[in-house]
Amino acid sequence: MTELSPDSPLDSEMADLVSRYLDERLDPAQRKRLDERLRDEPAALEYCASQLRFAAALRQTLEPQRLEMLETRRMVIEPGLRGPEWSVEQQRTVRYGSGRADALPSPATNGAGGRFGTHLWRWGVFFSLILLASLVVAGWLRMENDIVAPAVADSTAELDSRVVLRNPDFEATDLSLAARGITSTLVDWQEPYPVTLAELCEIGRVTNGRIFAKSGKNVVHMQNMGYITQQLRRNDGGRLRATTSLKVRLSGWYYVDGVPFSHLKSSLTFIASPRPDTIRYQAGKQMVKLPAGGWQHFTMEVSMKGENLMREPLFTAGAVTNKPSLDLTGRELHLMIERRDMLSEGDLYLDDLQFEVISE
Amino acid sequence: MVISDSLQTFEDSERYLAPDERTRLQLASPAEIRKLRIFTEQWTRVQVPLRAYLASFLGNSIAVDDGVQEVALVVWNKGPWEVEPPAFLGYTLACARRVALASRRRQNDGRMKFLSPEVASALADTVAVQEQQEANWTAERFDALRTCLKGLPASQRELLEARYSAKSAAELSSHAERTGAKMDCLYKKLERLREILRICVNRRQAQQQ
Repeated sequence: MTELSPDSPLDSEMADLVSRYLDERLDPAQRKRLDERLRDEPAALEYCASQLRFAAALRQTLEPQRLEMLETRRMVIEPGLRGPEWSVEQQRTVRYGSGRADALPSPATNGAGGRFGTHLWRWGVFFSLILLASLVVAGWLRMENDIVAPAVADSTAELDSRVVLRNPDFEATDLSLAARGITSTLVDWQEPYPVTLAELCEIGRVTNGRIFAKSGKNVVHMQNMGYITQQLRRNDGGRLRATTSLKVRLSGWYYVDGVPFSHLKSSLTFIASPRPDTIRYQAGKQMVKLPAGGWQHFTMEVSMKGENLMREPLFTAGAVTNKPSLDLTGRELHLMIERRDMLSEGDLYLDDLQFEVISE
Repeated sequence: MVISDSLQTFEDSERYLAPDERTRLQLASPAEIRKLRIFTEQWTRVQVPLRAYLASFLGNSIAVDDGVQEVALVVWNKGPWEVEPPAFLGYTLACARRVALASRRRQNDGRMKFLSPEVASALADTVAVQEQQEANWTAERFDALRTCLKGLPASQRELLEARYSAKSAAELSSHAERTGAKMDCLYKKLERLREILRICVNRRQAQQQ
């Protein structure tokens, strides 16, 4: 006879319900059933608690969570009425996220956080040195031997033609000395327009520690109808141009606060004329609904609609009277990210954006 | 004076930290290093029960991550980090309860699917009681789990890694695309894998005892 321990499944229904709860895929009827059984059966409660603990241990082993405290100290010494005065402001933020360097960490990496961080640093430095050494060797071989050169040149050319977002994590600006932890200047995200109804925000400070950035300290805060734009450039300085087969993917992390959901629109736009006589054409767009619930990942794909790229102007400033259709083929594109809700309540935060060209 | 303080810091940290951390730690005072060391030990012990406790209320891994973050900040700033481990666990879970209830209030838009408040609370209390009575997620138990994971075929380990990565939903979907499996099948496999691992860990621990 086997001994019944708290982590032994009671029956197949309970095992299934708890497994669904752990994997976040209970439907309303199943949730109600789990609720009933947990309420009525102490053994079910014991089993579920035990499974939650096992799942937490599994998560901790497979994806060790690194805790990172950031401390900022601002010391000010100034002449006062009765002699020199000084003040110290200190701010602490905490980041909690994956710090794993390997799928199955060695026992040593599970100990103190300081040691774990040290291992990551070591690996980072190690791989950086390897990469640097490879580049030096490749450069040397290229000079020494013409046979090697084409292969290196080809791979470099492929790399250089990639479109990469600039300042995708919004960390290019240090807001630690900004009075309120916000600024309306968003480096690389106001091309060609200044940002409207959007701002860079040191979120941990602005929300008094209620919300933290997905990474680093800064996020972009978007009010309703706010937008940010960036000209899409390649590593080699070239521009991303419109073609009928163009398809791109934008992904990143969002946080909806104060409302149940928000809407995010991203579009590939050709700006024929910037302000004040704005004429803007939209080559392709995509809109997604973002439900609230902490930091969540989003992905949206934008492709060109229709057989050709003939477009009517999407927006023209009031003073513009000539509003011609235009074939956007070969035109330089901007990425435009907008918050589009019916109501102006709540806040939307974005962090760690990524952009990828799927087809051209 | 400054130099001797730095040296003191250097010596104090030497027993616990790798040599290349010494320079960084000279920026911290001995008191701060002591707090960091003790807090790290305490925090390492409470991570599993804390996640399980928050999961009782929240049932969503992203909300749980956010909750852990909030609790960490409160405990670091205000927590009794020098107390005995059970007291530290008690304080951490008390913070976690407030954080979780606040998170439920923020996210309860009618579509979020939580267990009912009384059941969630009872489940969290059971997690806490089990942890205090058994405290069985020791270093040895973690070692046993790692050994069991290493014993799995690569494909099964890959599935678990996809499920427990930071972007589990997206990772699982791409895993399903790669392997041509249906999501329902993957979740069934996950259920079986967790059971296999649980049995494996218990067996290994029994052998050690």
